[in-house]
Amino acid sequence: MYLKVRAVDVVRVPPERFGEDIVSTVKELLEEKLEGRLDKKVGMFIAILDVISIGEGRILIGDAGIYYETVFDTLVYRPKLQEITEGEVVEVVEFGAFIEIGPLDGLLHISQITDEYISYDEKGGRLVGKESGKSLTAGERVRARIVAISLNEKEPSDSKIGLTMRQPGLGTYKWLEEERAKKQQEELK
Amino acid sequence: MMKKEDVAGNEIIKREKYTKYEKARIIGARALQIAMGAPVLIDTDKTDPIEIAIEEFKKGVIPITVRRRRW
Amino acid sequence: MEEMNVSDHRDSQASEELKDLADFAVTDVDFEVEDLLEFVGEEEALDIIRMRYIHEDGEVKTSDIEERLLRSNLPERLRRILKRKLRAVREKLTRDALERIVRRAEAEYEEAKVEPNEAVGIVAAQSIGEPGTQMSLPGDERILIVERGVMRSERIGDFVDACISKYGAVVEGEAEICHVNENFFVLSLDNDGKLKWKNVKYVIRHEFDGELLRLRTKSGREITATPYHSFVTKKGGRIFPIAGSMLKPGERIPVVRRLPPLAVDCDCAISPSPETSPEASKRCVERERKVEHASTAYMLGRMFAENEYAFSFLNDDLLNGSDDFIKEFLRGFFAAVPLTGHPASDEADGEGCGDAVVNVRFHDRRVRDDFALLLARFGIFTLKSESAGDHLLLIPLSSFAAVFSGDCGCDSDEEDVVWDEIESIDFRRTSDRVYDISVDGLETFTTHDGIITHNTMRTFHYAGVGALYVTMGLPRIMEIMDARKKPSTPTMSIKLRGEYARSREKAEEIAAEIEETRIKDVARIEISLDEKCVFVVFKSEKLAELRIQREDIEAKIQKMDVNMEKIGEDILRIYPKEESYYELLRLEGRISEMLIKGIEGIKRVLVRKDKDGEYTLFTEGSALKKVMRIEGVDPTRTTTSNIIEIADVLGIEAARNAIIEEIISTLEDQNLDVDPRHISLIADAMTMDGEVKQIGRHGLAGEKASVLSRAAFEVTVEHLLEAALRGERDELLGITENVIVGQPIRLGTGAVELVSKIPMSRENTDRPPEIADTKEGKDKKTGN
Repeated sequence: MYLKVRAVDVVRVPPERFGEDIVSTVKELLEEKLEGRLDKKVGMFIAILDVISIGEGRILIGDAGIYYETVFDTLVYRPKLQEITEGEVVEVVEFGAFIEIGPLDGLLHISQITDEYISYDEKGGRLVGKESGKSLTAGERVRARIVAISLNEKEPSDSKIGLTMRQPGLGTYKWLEEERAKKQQEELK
Repeated sequence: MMKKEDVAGNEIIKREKYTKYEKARIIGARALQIAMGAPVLIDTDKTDPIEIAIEEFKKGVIPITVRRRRW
Repeated sequence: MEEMNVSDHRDSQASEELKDLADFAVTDVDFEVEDLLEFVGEEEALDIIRMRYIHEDGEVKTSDIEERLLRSNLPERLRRILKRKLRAVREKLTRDALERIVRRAEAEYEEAKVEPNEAVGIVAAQSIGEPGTQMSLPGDERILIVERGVMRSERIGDFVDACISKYGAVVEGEAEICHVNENFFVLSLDNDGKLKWKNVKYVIRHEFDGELLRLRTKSGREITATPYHSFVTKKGGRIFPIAGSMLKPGERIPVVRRLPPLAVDCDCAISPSPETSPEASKRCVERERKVEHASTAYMLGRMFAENEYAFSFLNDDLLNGSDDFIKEFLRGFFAAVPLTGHPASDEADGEGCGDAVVNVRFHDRRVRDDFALLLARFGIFTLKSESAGDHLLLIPLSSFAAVFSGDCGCDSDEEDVVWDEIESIDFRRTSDRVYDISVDGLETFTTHDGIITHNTMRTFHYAGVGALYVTMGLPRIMEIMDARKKPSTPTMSIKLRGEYARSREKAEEIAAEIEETRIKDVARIEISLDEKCVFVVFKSEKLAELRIQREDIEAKIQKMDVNMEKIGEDILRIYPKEESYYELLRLEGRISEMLIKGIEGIKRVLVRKDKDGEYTLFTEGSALKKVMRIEGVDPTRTTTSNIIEIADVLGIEAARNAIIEEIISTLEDQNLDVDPRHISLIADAMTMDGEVKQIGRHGLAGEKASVLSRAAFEVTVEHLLEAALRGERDELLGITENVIVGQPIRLGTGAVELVSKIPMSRENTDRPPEIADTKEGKDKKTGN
């Protein structure tokens, strides 16, 4: 889920930037420092929206920079358990599919795609349901639920987010479309 | 001498006499800043960052002050 | 060294003489002179023989001998020998003679004993403190040396240099110390006031840069020495060393009155090494031959007097000649010199001064000094003075006349030294080598001029407290900071009030009152295994000296639940209640340790005059509370080196001051200059809790709040382990902790917290940044 968050952080302003406008400098430095960073509690920083306030600058022994405690608004992506999220299949592999949910990728394990047996079609690069013949290929958009989160702050791309689609109302857009059409037909009958 | 205090009750020094330690720290910190590329705030021919810092200090333009905490 | 020193007076000549005398005086004496001689020496033997015929005060009984011996302080074995010998000659003995023999034997025994504290040696002195090595004479001071039985005066510098080049030297710090293997002897004063020729053990030389002290005495004698070189002085009947720098005009130092029987004794007493002995004996023989001719001596004397220029100094043979020879020489000399006597001047006070003086004029100083030495052979104490370029020797007529009346027998009770008054003291700078000599005993030696100096390698004195041994230097500092319950050498400095401070007698009264006296100090305790009892034999002189009544002691012993029986004036017989050897031994211990006078813990008391001329007591051992209550003691200025005791008696503030005082004085003694603020800081830290705490892991350092700084002090692992077990936190507030962690300490520049004034650019100076509401902003924090 994307959130707008008011956060506090300390920014080091290096001496060569002392002459510049402090607010824009601090914002720039915050962007430099935080964007793309993943924090377990806050989530992943997407953008610094606005600098709200800048506290007094601390000067430490042996360091020419000044450290400002800054309050700022930021846009973060924070995965949450049981959250329903939408994304695009970026890759299909033998054991499942990787779904891009915001700035992070989640893994949809082969066992979590449907209730039926699924097999991997290596040539077609897709996963196919044995009975229904439902398939999942890269580029498709899906709706899934987050069931496991393991974030790695140091290496955000190594973070593991587990997804599932074994629930009514979840699946690829195509499946959901078919489902809906099927329901409407039944209602009409 | 007016005493100004911040929210936490700590005294903030403004244009008062500094102790020798404070003076040393201010000049030292400023000299380091200058040495590392901070813009100089006065017009001077000097090249030694410490001397520049001293001059700045004398002119009272160093944008650094001291927080005296109550321990 | 239990054996009596019986090897004295082996001079064959003297012995011969004695026999002749004895034969002449008492032809019917049939006991062996040698027998007596062996114990008492010639003079005593002579006296005994004489007395035999002078007093007939009744027969001496065997029991008398036994009783007397029991009262003596001789060890069992010697008593037995002496008893046997005395019994053999019992019929010939008088009571007086018995008394004298025993006394003499006692004296000999005491002399032969190793002194308490002896044999500490050079190494120990070195370790006590650097100033301990700097007590020496400059190289050109002449000293008297006897080598192979021949006396000569030599410059100490030449002597020591020669020894060092011959035997090599061990370098200890700045000093070169040479162990002398050969038999050199120097004249040394013992603490009984007798002069003796003693073997030189070590010679020492080292560089000295500073002021030398020059003393001049009333009798015209001079000495130059380093101020650390100590002299001996006499206070309260005791002889003890004093630092040169503590001497003042008016104080007395010993100078030689009589040269003891010449060094010939030494050669016989100590068997010379094989290669030196033939030579030495040859010399002896040669001298003997020359000395035979009395007429030669007489002629020599005349020649000397008539033509003084012929002698640049008196030659060795003369100096070492027999008494007769010298007597003849002097006879010849005075036959030629007009004896210009004049009444004694007022300034020539002191012992050895008679009604008139003989005035002898010399052109050469050395000759005069040699001549003075010759006279010293007969116990004639001379005065020296300078006049119109000439050197005068003033000989008091009375003692002079005594010698020439033919009576050279001297009173043995008299001291061999004269306590000469110091007339003037001045200083002279030097940066040359200085020298020192070390001998047994009091470590004294004599200069050519006859002044006796003292080498303090052995006893280190505390700011002039005589021979009190006091812990100094680093060990003392450690002791103070460790807040020991009892220092290793507790001492007190007791100031007195009113007349007690002004009179020596009064001060000594107090000294006697507080000095711990046990029965063993005034009596001899003996166990008789036969009779299964303990004998207490009072020493009457001691009792009188300390003013102790026999009855008091008896009363105290009687309280002990024992059976006491008085058998004679001075002897008590005590039976234990239970008849067992264990009880007997226990009884002996209890009796001998029984305190009969004084304050428990005050082992010794010295009376000294301090800088302000006030009599002050210095003690070994400490008992502040009790001492302060004594009448005449000034409790406000009396102090002890035991800091814990001060805290107990006077409170914590007094202890704080005592810590400061003690540390400063200890440092000053080592010539160290430490700012007193450091010391008062230490004292404050040690005493701030109201009790004296040591600086160490059981005290201050162990009570620190910070785990890290405690671990940094001692036993690191234990502290960390303990702290971990207790889950302690370290707030890193102290200095040590921050140093350990590598942070700037919160002091000085490290305590300054710098804050930047927000707008950093000149353009923005006037425009403060828009500060939004921060209260909300703080509820979410970035994990950085």
